[in-house]
Amino acid sequence: MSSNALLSPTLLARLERLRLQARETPSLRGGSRRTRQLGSSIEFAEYRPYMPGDDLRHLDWRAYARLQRLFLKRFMDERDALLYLCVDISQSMAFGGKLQLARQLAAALGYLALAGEDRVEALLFSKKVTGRTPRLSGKASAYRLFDSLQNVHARETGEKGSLSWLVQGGVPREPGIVVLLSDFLFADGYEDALRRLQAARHAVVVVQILSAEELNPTFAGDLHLIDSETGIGRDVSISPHVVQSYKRAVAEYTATLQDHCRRRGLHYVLLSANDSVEDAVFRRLLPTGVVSG
Amino acid sequence: MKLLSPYMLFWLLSLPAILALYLLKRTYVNQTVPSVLLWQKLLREMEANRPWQKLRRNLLLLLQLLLAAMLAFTLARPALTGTGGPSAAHTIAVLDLSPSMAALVGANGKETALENAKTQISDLLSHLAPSQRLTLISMGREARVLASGNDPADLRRALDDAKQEYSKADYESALSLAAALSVQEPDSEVRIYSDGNWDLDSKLYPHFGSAPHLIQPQPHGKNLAVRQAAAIRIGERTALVATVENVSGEASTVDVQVQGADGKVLQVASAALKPNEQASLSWDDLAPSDFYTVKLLGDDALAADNQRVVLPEGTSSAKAWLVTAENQPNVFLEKALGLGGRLTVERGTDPDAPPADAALYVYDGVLPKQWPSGPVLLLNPPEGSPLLNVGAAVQAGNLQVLTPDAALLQNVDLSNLHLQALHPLTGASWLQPLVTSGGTPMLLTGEQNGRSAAVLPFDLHQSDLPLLPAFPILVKHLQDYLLPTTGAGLGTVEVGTRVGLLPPIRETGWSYTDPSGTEYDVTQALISQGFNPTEPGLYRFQSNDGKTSQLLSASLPPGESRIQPTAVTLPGGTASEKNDPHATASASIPGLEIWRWLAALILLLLFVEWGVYKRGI
Repeated sequence: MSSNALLSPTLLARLERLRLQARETPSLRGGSRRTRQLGSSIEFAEYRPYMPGDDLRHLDWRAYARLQRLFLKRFMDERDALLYLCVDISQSMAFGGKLQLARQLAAALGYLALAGEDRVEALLFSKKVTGRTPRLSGKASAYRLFDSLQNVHARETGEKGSLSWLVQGGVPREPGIVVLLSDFLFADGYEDALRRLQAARHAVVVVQILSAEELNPTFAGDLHLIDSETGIGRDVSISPHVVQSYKRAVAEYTATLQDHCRRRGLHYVLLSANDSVEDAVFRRLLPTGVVSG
Repeated sequence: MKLLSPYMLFWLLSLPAILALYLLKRTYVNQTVPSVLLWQKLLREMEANRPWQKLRRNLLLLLQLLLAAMLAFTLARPALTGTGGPSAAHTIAVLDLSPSMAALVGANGKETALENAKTQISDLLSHLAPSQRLTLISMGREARVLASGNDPADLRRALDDAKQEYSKADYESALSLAAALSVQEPDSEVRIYSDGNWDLDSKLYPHFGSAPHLIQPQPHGKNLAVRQAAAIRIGERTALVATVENVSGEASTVDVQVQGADGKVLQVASAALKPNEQASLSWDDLAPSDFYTVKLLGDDALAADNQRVVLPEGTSSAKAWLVTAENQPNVFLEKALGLGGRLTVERGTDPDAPPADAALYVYDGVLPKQWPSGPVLLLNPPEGSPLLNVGAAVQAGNLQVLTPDAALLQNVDLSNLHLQALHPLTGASWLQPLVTSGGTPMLLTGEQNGRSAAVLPFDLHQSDLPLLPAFPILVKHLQDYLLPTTGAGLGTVEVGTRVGLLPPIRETGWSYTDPSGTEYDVTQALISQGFNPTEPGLYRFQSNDGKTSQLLSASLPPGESRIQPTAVTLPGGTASEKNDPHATASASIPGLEIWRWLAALILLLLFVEWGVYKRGI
């Protein structure tokens, strides 16, 4: 198994220099991620007077020798982060390379997280979670992640994409960084789901992926538009006037989502399915601060 | 705006057809999209459950509907009327100047038919393009080209100069002239401004190059006319008979008034007339007067025929001197001459000893050596006279009336006349034949040196003419012709009839006054050519000392009282167009056809539609 199908080796090399810059999440496991808490890393943080009950291993005996007083040497704590990669695999993602970009981006983010000694768990969902990888850690397990993502296919028609599984108790227990990769074309909304995630102390990154055809439709004439997920059809006479109205509707929809995220302190990125994964990571995600160099 | 082919508007039915096509043609192509979520909001507005909403904001449909409507409209051949510009390259306008055109027309009756026609032609002139020509033909006593060309000022001057005439118009010549012009130029249009009362045989209508347009006036109201009037003086009393006719389609009552020479009203009578009915009115005891005026009171459309001047005929009998060949007394002639009491016949024996006081000299079978002093009536003149070169008798043949309109032959039916033989006259060019038999003149009239003469160059005894009902009428007409000066007058003539001025008017220093009161000198030209009254009414001729005067009454030609337009179908156009029922003269005038402009507009619209289609607006 090679990573070539999803990510090129060059990209992998570039990704290794990036780190996931999510807000601190209370992980219980030590890792390479510096926290604001004091712990057991090798990085010196401060001195503090000894108090009975402190661990004697942390006493600075050299200071005692000079000053005849007991000082405790304290270090920064280093913990790992838990990255949940939630990839929408509903039928609507099968259009215009949306799912492909979502898989690539999930692989890229997963790889850079694993490379940064964070743990990664990938969830595939449409109406509900249809598959999940075990929590992976260590760069070596990146290939397992790639394998899992490689074999993902969109669900068949008849299953509506939804975030309702999050509302219905599907929120991961352990706080971490939740990256939602989806087109966010959910008929039943997304607000409630996002609120639940935040309530569970997750840091949420919303990555909305829309196909070029969705952003800028090129078809014209009298069309019977069929919803790929529900199969419901609508008759529309596409005229430039209608197309203009549609574009306004799309802009309004994405703006609403972005506004929702901004107000709740969530990261939001809108990607076109035509973007390459490099562009997505280095041009779109990097400026938002989700990842840092 | 007028549609020349309004039935073509049925193409407007294509409009609903196009609409139907738009409603039916919608075949929706299946297109799977990731989600219709984003379309939902739009669809709430756009998705058309009701058909007409599908048609909203569809520029292409609107353009196509507009195109179809314009095409149908163009096929209906819209033409601009009202602006009145001539459409043909050469417009031939025939202007009727006859008396009936003096009738008032229009709703308020402010102008005459002639003025109205002039205004219409004037309108035509103001819209005359530089490339268009107009020829103005007068349909008057003479048919003349008044002006031709494309200079509106020139044409307008000629139009203004065209004056109302009161004599009978030469309709046939005017029509022939216009027809000849129109046949020469295929791209010409003939417009005849007339009421169509021409009294012409439809077989005599000339063939026009294209169907002419007859523009007929609508007279304002009814018309009543004094048709005939005559007065006879018996002793101190004068009897007057007048015929009043209602020439309109509505019944009417009219007051008729008789005035004397001094303008005093002598008698008034009333007549109730049904449509197209005549009534005779008579007055027995009128005060003596030189002339009487019979006048209809009240207004009607044509004023010119509302009064007539009557010159009373005296019964103070003049003398006719009759000489017959020996042993050939002519009782029929004698009786016929004496009818009406106007002449008393005196028999003579010697043709060379005429009495000086006779008004008429009648020679039957004999001829004098020299002419007597008055008018002569010659019957069966013998051969070998120095006065007339009479040939040997020839066999009679088929009868031919050369001048059926002559006053002498009115109500004279000679079709049953049988003659044995008649004498040809040679070398008397001043005698004009009126009737011929087998090519030889049978009735001749003429005037030489102020003396009128009539000749019947056959023996009455060898014919059945005296037995015909026409004989006394003919003799009466001959009397009228030979003795026109009855009473104090020159007689009564129709306007436009030439009247020979006989002595004493031929003496110098005479003048005459026309009905409007203007005085003119009697010139030598008038004497040689004869006097031609131009308007109805009384003409008074007087000597320079004012002691002697003679009166001439001019009356309107009888047919001209008809002012209601008559539908006339004039033949015109090419052979294939002859059967076209629309090619009648009474068809309306097409104005400027505008289909060319519409076609250009449609072409432009087509380009716009193409652009819209390409851009998919």
